[in-house]
Amino acid sequence: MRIAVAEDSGIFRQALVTLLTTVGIEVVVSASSGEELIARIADDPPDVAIIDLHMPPTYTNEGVTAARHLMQRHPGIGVLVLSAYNETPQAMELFRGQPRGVGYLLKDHVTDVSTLRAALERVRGGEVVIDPDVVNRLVDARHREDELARLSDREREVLSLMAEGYSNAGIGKRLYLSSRTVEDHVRAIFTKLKITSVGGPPGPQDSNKRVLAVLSWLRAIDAR
Amino acid sequence: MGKVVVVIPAPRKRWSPPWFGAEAKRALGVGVIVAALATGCGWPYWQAHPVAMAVTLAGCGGFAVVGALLATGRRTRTTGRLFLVASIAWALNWLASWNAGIGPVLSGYAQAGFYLAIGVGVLVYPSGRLEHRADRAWAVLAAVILASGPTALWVTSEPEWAAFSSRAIWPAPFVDRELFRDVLWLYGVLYVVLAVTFVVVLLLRLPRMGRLRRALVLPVSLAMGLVGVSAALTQRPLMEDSIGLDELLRVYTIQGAVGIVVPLALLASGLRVRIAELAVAGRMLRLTAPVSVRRVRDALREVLHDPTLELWFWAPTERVYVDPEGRPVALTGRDGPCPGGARWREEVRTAAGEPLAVVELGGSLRDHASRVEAALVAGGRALETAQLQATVQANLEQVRAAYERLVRAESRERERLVRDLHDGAQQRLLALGAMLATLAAVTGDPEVKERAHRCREELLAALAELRSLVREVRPALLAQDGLGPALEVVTERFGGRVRLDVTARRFALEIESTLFAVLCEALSYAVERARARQVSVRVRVVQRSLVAEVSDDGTRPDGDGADISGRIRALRGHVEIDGSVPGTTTVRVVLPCE
Repeated sequence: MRIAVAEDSGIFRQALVTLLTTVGIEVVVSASSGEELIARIADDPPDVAIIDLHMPPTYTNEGVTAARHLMQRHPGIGVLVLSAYNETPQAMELFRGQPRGVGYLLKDHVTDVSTLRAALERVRGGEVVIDPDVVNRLVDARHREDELARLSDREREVLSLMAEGYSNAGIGKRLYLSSRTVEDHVRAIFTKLKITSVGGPPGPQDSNKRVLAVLSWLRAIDAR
Repeated sequence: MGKVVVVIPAPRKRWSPPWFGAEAKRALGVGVIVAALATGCGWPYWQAHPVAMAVTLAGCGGFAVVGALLATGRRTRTTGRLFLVASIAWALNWLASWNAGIGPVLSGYAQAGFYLAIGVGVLVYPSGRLEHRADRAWAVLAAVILASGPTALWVTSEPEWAAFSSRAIWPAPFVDRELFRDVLWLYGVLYVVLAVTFVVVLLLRLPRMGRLRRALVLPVSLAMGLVGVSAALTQRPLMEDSIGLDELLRVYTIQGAVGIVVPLALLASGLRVRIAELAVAGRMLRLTAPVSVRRVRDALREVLHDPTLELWFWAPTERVYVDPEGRPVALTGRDGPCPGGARWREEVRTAAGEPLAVVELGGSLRDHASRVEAALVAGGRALETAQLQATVQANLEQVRAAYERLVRAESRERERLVRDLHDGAQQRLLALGAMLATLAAVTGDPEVKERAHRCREELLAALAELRSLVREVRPALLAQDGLGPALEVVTERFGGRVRLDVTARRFALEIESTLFAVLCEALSYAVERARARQVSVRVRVVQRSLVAEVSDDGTRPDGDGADISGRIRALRGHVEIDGSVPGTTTVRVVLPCE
């Protein structure tokens, strides 16, 4: 897998590149800003670009801007945005529209090789990946909501994994359940929470559409 | 306006009314002298006509007294002197009664001088000069006609034709009865023309005056119009040839009696001014209790009918003038006309001569300097008290400005701290985590792997602590999206208990970060200490203020509350606790925002 990195902090970028190289992932470009990355991969795009969310000049959402720009210019490229902070609703901008191959990961989890590798591979495969801590924060914040209280513990686990972007098979594997059982849970969740999305209810196999529907439900509950 | 008003106590003579004291005595003296002169001039006639004598002496004396009094006023000096001249002229007019020597010839000129002096005297009142072109034209016309009239008489007639005896000095170089009749007819007409044009000129002046000034001028103008017209009409019989001396002097008596109306009207105007001054003083005293800087200014505005009036106080310790809010003002001139000339300023000093205040007034009050002065003197004690208040206000303002600078500097410092944590410590710790992961990946030793794993756990804990610190200082979201989104993240912690209604407008860095910190504190207090089940946060702009309200249904012990007012006050805002709705406590923060 060929990777490009955009990260303004020199010391973290260096450590990340060393880690990736050590575990056998090829780093083709190591840039200190989104603009530099976009310029340097223009002719030979990598499989996945890793982009820091907070970069100069405003340290707010430069990563999202660069990621959307990149996806527009190189359709099919995977983008993994990293953030040191969990409370970053601006990162949700990444998932606007119907994106493919987008991920959002906290930097804490980057230091865990298996999580990092899994995220890179899923993004490269066109999946949507969201850090479990981010999902937990969203689900926890709604924990006291009546509608979430109607879910069973198992259903809540399935909801979190859905939000993280796992397919039914992936969820089944993690929870040691059969695909059919997962499918039943998913249907129950959609019914109990009355989740809908543009163009009808998302099919169980369409995990990208599904995760977005779940995410927007989690974030939009105030507006209802 | 080259003078300075001094207040408390006010020992200056100008403050005593113009018709009492030394000036009044001097005026009375002048009146007596002129009356004596009139007595002498008209002596042959007075012996048989005591009533005419009383009327004439009173008229001459009265004229002289009013003239002398007016001559002491700054703006009425010219009018006063002219009236004094008029009174002497009228006295000399009675020389005609001697019916011999130079008297009869002089008498004609004296009568003409009398009318010219009071006519011009009224036209220059109260500004001290002939302001309009019509005024000047009339003055020239009057001078020419009034001077040539008596001349034409002695040039064309015998003294007997003009009511005098042959003992009178009467040059008569071109004696011609026909010509003399024509001269009489012509001047009879010219005197009427002069009287009518004078009334017209007076009427023309009125619309160009301000309200206060018209009130002052109107009675005098009416009186003078009456005098002018009556003079022209009573002069008619004199314009026949061969009238008797007695008849002539009777007309003079009537003209003199009518002339008294002018000084009486002037006295009435003076009284009016004086009463207005007293009323101003009384109202100032009423309007300025209890004293405040603003109240003194508003009282001055009201009593002087000038809503544009401005007042600045001298702050002695700062050695600068300050406005009613205590903010320093740079004044280019403290006394006299403002640049542009439409407005003027007057400096007020304390009894000790220290600067006290500067008043800026509209130009229309210039003719009413005495009224302005009366208001300032009456408001003197209030002004001094207000100056103390303004000084305290100025000191307070300095402290507040220093505190505000401190809060702004603190906001910038926080910003820098957050950036340092982000760029420095946190990235370094995260890099360390990645290095540990690399170490675990390259080693084959399970014990090293285990140690690296445990190090990573410790590292993540340290990172979490660091982040919660940064989050308290300043969330990245506040900088990018403002208060609303930043508060949204905070309220996620509390689930559905918090309702947000926050304006999308953006404000200055220190306002946003201070308000954010304060609202977080109020929120967590409401939820965690007061155990509220419903909290609503509302932030909106009302006029030029940012109003933030945190309302909750929690219970709190008396006197217990988050102390958030210090930082808010530093930004010129304030905090209110509102418990007017039962079961609900509202903390309201109001911050000024431009």
